[in-house]
Amino acid sequence: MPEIYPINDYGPIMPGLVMGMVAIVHVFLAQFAVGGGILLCYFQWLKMTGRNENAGKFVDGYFKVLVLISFVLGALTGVAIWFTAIQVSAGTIGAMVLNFHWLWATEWTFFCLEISAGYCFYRYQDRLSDRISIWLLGIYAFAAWMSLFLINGILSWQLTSGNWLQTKSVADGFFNPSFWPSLLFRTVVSVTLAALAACVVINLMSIDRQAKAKLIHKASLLLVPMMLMPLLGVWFLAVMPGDSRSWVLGGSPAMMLFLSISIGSSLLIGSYTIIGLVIKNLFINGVTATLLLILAFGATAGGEFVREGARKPFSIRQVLYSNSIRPDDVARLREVGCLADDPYPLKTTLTFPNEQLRDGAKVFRRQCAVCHTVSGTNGVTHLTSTWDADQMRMNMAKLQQTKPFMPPFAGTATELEALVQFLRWSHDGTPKAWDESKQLIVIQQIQTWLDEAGTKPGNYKQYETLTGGDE
Amino acid sequence: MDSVFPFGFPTPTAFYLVLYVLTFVLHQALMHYVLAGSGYLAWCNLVPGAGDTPRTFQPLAAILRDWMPFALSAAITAGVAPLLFVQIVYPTAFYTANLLLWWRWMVVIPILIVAFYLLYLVKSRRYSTWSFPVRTLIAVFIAASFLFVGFCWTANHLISMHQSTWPEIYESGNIAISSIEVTLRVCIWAGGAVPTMCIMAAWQLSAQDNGETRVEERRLGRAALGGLSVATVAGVVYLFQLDELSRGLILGSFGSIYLGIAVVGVILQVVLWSMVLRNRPTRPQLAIVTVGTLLSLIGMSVLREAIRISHLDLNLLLEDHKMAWEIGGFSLFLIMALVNFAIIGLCVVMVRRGLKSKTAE
Repeated sequence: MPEIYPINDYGPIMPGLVMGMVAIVHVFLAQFAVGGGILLCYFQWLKMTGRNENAGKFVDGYFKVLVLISFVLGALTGVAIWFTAIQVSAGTIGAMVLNFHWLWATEWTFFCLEISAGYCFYRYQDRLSDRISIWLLGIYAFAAWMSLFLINGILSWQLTSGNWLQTKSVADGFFNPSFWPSLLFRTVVSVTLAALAACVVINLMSIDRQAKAKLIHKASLLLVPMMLMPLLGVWFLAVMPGDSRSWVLGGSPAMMLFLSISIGSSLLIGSYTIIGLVIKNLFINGVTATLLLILAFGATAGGEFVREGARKPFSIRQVLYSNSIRPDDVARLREVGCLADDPYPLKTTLTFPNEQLRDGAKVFRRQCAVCHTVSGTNGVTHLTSTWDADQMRMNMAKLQQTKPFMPPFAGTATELEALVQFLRWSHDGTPKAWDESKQLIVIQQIQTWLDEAGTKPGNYKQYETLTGGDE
Repeated sequence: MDSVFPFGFPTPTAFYLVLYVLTFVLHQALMHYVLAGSGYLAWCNLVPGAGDTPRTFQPLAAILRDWMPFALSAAITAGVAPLLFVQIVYPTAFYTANLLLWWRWMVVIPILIVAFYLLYLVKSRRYSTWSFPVRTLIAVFIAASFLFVGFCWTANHLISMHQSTWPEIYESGNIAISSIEVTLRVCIWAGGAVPTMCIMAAWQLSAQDNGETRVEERRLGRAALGGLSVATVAGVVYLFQLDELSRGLILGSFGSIYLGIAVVGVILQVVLWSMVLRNRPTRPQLAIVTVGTLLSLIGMSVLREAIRISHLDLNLLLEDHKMAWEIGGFSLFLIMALVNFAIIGLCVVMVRRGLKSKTAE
């Protein structure tokens, strides 16, 4: 039997939003660190070959920024993302750790290599030969990129599990259909972020404008791979599951909006840097460079939101729904109910007029609270405010068909009625008196709807093709 | 549990437990350096001494200030591995404790970020130009931050062990853990952190190889003996405070060997640190203290697990451990671990040779 974890109430903010914020900051910093390593190797090479007289000075300053930002904020937001993932969905992080713990352990060895090589360079570079310096930087850059390589396999598995569903092989899960487009895309993004950050750092250096312009031109060459982004983006979209692709390309306005933000920001950055910096060899001042970096943050945020959202209704495709209920557990929960094995009492200051409402609140906590609030962000009372009671009953009983990016209801007809009553009571301003809804005919009707909808996800035919029909 | 740890368990469980303990020891050693090192820096500011050079600017404090950011970075990185394996060995208990502590757990991250940046500030040249109150405030804040983070981990660990209290903690929001147990545990690890930091700092001092550090070597000796005393007294009291099941595991065949290892480690440290009070330590002496410290860390880490195992029914998790064991990827980890740690060694060798050739020039 799956474990039941306590669920915390974030008030008007849904837990998924907290996760998103931490994830976006961490991804931005981590990708900056990966690209920073590659960029530093390039500048160290420029220094060694005499191609730029200020390259050495730049390497000095840039590495300090990298250490202060990436080694501190990057490392700690990495831990934060782990802690936040536990808060949002312990079941999801548990499944990821279980299935890929050796890859995560392997990534840890690369973390160790990254900080060791990085600190050797940071502490001693002024007393080391150029040859040793570039070796240290090369090792640092390789280790940082390898950590991206490894985590990319695990994260992309969440969306496209590929043959892993049949074989359960780590290699099949890791080298899943979206692995390569995702890895290449992230590598290009990393180098782009590092090059934009370089333009900011160069502007802070105490050298003349002409010297800055030379350095900026060199850094801007690392923005050229951005031209591959549209191609890699299309490749990524092509390997996405069909329903996920349909959410992103118009099925879900929010996701389409975020995708547009991501594409729009990338286009702006790309056109400005390729035409202005690379082709026209223009100078870019600190303010503009910072603005481009902020745009890049927006693009990262949009992209990460789409990546997270495209998995709906799953947190791990075909393995776990967003609410941490397993697809193969829905049928059992329809029989025994989702409250039967929940040991946690309600933690609320509300006074419930009856037990049915209390049960409804518990059903909400178990099945909805990860992605929704009652009446705050993505509040269910707002989303259902125009539905009458019967509509609400039917739409929730057939939830995966009403909205295919929602998981099926995983509880009994009585629990569904309790949820409906709780939402209506909340919508009406939590009045002191509220009658219990006990009509047998209502429960029977809900049961009929639940039976009609079945226990499979909305787009189950597609999943059956993927899983060989054994879902 | 009639067998010595970890032999009474099926291979998968024993394997993950050993990996957890070993990686935890590595993390713990670095964490001790940061915790006790920041404590020492705070003390140096609060009690600057009567000499010409305040303690904050003497060689030992300078070394600590210089190395603390790296040590914290290394401690955090080293902490990833035990954080991973604890989720394999005790997934439900660990996740539930995280969730029950909630914001009190998440606050660890911003505090660590602030303390981390302050460590870089303390390392900078600018720090020495600031006034005494500012320097003291920063140093005390850093030490208090690490102490608080350690306390949060203790709270997390204790909550994870007491499954029957979970619903009550969730409903009330109060952390229902014994204050005596927390205090004793904090005394054990905070006291134990001091000798670990002392031996690491002693090696660093000895690398400077000048006669001016003799006073500080003696200071390290006194601090290490003080820390060991606090940890030992707290450990003995805690042993008697424990319930019979936990005490039985520690004193029985499961844990007694590790108790013995920890005691031998403490004795080695006490003897050698006492010698340091009288004479300059030689490298072999420092090596023996290092071995003693490692023995204590390993012994105490296993005893810590014995207490946890006495509270949690590992039999319920054996199937999960077996499932994890059957998942592929271990050989990749092993190969990459060997390769990457060899490259780390290579980096150190390269730097040493590079520094030597630069000095020769």
